[in-house]
Order: sequence, then C-alpha cells, then structure tokens
Amino acid sequence: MQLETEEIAPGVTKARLIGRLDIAGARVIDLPFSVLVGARRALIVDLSALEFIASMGLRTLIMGAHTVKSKCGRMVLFRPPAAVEAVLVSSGTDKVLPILHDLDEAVRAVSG
Amino acid sequence: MAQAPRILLIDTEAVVRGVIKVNLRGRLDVSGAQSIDATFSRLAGARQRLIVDLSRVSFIASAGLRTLILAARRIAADDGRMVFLLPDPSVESVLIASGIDRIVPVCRTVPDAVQAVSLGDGDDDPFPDKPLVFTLQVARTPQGLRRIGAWVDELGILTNLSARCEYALRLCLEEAVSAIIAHALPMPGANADLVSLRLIADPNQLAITIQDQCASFNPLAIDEADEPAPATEGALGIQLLRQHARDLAWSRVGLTNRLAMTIPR
Repeated sequence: MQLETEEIAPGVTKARLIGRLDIAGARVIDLPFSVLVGARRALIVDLSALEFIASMGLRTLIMGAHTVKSKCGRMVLFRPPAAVEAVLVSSGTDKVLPILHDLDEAVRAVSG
Repeated sequence: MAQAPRILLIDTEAVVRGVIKVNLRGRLDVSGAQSIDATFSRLAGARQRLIVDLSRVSFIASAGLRTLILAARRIAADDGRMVFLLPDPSVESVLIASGIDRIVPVCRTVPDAVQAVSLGDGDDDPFPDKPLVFTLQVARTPQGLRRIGAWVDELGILTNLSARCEYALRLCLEEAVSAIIAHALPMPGANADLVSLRLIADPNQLAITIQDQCASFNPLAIDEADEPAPATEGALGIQLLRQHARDLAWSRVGLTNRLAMTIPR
C-alpha cells in the first residue's frame, strides 16, 4: 500500500492510493494520510490504482473527510475502479465524499 | 540433499513420443518462478503432455507454486496435461498444503507419470468440477488477518475466481474475522487464540465456515440495532458483509462460534 502526492494546481493536492486498502494497508498509510488531511485544504484522493477497499479503508477516508471539512477544506474521491466504486456507493460513503471521474471537475470541486 | 544451486536450472527431454519431461533443479523462489514462466511459454503448443520433475527441487515458495498452477491451467486450456514427478517430502508437503495436488497429479515414477499425462483423449478432465475443500487456521490477531489475505491470493488462482468473486471473498473474510478479533472474548480453558476457516469451492459458489472458541459472540448482531445508517464501529463492516455474502448464519455449537456464508461465483 503506497501513498503518492503531487501538487497538480496551485494549492491543490492529488494523493494517489496504490494497492489494497485492507486492514494491513490501512495501517501503513494511517499516519501519512492523517498528516495529509490535517495539512491540506484542497485534496483530491486518486483511487484509480486502488485494488481493494473494505470497512477499515472506508473509515480512513471518512475520517479524513471530516478532518478536512473541520478545517474548512474540501476533499473528493477521484476515479475509483468499478469494484471499489460499488463499495463506496453501497456503503453510502459517496454521500460524504463526492466521487468524480474528470480531473478538471475534481480540481474545480476542491478549489471552490 | 547436497549443496543445491542458488538459481533454478531447467532442462527438457523427450521421454516417449509426445511427452516432454521438464527437469527443475534448485530453488523455486521468485526468480526461479520467472525462469519457469519463460520456459513454459517456449513450450506452449496444443495438446502438450508435460511431466514436471521436481525430484531435485530443494525449495518451493508461493511465487513458484503460482507459476506452476498458471502453467497447468494454460496447458489444460490447450487440451494438454501436466503432472508432477517425485517431489522431495518437504516440497510435497507444500504442494499438498496449497491444494495444488488436487489440480495437478503427483506421481512417484516415470512410467506412472507417462500414463497420467497420456490418459484418454480429453475424456478425463484435469480440472474436474468436484468441490474443492481448503482449510486455514490463523491466530486471532492482525498477523492472522494478513495470512488470510495471502490465502485469498492463492485461492483466487487455485480455484480460478473471477475478480468480482475474489473481491467479495477478501472483503467477507476480512470483515468477519476482524469483527471476531475486535469483539470476541476469550474463554478460560478453551483455545481462544485461533480462528479456523474452511472453504468449499464448487462451480457455482464458495461456501465458507469461520469458527472460533471464544465466548458466545455473534458478529451478525452488531448491526442489527443500527437501521438505517450504522453508527457503531464494526456495524459498517457487517453491513458490507451482508451486501457481499448470502445465507449468512451464526450458531453456537458446544464451545464454538460458527459463522457460515456463501459467495456466488
């Protein structure tokens, strides 16, 4: 499980999750992800390389969303693969975190 | 065995007409697996009859197993057949533990191997649709959960699971076992440190049973009070479990909690 970040527009960070967000994976990115959501106000979480997510991973994302929101920032989810998107939708996570598939739209959504 | 080579050595020989014996010598680890991949691709062709001689393989790791299974499937898809010959007892125990011996026959002599690869003309399916049974016991810890993840990787290949089915299996096992780890309380006198898993794979579904010997604990009860949105931690996991598995049922049998479920293929 890896986390890669890049600044894709002024003040906008894209964080890419790579691998499986199972319990072991969630443990690996827990700290770096907390640092990220604590520090960034415009965060796009790129899920295109995410192979798996279950409740532990959903909790990590949801808590991240709350942290970003509490600091008046915005966070969106970007391009989850079909199996991951199905879990995000069936769990209702997409109501807390919008899912977008177009990068320009995602940048606009977090830049406000 | 005398000093085994660090790399995997491979040579091939024709045994009888139409039957090729692939002799492996050394360690079947990650780099060995890559050498095998290259060799089997070169041997590809219709109706291959291959005897894989493991008598001089000193060590086999899961990467090596995976490569052999994938090769066996490719060969079967091209109407061919593969058998293993004379594995060392320690290698044989790895083959049996992984269940691959149910997919690729293990033979003791060259004549037996030749007979096994020559059987019939496609009338004896090397990948029969009989149910396959797999079991695993893990510690009731995060380490145990990691082992379950690796088990799902192997099962995915051994039973040729679709991506959707493998995802559902991985999710259901993770949610069920992490609920047991988080909430079940050990009982004095019972072996509460282990979780046992049993999976029966048939062409239509996976039937799974998860057992532990903790105090009475039903993971399915976690989310029953939380309609419609799960508020308690753990309820979200059980909600996902319900969405991905069918016939979920919990029972207590003696000192054992038993959780059963099926996942359609």
